[in-house]
Amino acid sequence: MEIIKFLGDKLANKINISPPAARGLLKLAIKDELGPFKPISEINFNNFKSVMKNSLRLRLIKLDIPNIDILIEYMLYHLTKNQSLTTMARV
Amino acid sequence: MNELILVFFFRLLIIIFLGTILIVGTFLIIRAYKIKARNLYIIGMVWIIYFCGQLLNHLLHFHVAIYAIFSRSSFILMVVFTNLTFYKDRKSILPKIILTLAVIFGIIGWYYDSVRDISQTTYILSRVFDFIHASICFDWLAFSCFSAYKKFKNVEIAPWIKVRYKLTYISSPILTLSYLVLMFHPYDLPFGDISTTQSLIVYGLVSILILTYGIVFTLAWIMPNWLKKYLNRGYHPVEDEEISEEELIRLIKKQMSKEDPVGNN
Repeated sequence: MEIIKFLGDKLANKINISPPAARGLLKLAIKDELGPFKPISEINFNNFKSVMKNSLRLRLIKLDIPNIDILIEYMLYHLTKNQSLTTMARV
Repeated sequence: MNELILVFFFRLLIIIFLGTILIVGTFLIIRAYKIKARNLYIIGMVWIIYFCGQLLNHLLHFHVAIYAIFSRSSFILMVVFTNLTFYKDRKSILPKIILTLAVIFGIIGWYYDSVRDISQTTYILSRVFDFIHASICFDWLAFSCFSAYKKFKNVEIAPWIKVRYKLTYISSPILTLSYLVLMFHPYDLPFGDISTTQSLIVYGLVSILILTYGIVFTLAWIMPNWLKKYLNRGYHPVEDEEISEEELIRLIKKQMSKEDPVGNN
């Protein structure tokens, strides 16, 4: 899904990991938040927001990432600014 | 005779346009149900409501004030769609202002629609408000798509998605333009009157513009797979390797500790 790729690139850039690893981390956070059976095509903007605020935050805490609040704000900012991708890429 | 053929041809274009919006509206509602997307229900409803209004107007000859309720409310729903798709949780008050303007101009426009046939002045006023209302509602979507397209233009996302943004922002002003053309129709004649060249020209131009809009908008939202494949030629979508959670976490920790600065997995 394009929004995962887009956000994965942002996260990768911020915490200095590779884009595939960042996408993997995002997918794990999605699985934590929404369960393993939620199809990617059904994930909307609100779902992504709760993933960022809850499960991604926890995943980043476990990885000892510094300045998590700033990082989550940064991710939410890019998600909100580019939210139309969650619709335009799904139809 | 020639005028009759022309009117028949233009009417056919309008019928095809109505067919396209019915198809795109139904498709978007079905898609909304399948992927549980509330905003897609709204854009689907825009076209279903607009189609119903046109049916009442052209087929059942309801008064324009009744038809206008349908068209005005469908236009306002387009703003709701745009706001839900592009501006949810954004700090800007512009989306709220646009929605407020859409409602205000919708109500004023509806009033002038209901008195449209009284005089040349009320006709022109009705058409001016038609144009302003359509412009607020549809060009807001065009502006939002254009802004998003500008941001994504150089980002590596599937090209067909960029084309969807592009087609949507190109198509909306075409529909708005058709409302501008309608201002030049004689107020005391039925739309597409064969005895008046002016009426025929306006009828023809409007039917061509709305059909163009219908085709471009439909292509944007119901893009055939062959077209997606064609647009995506040369684009290689990322395919992530399936690895276990433990492996992934180990890899991330390794990359963060700079043991693998290139970070390929």
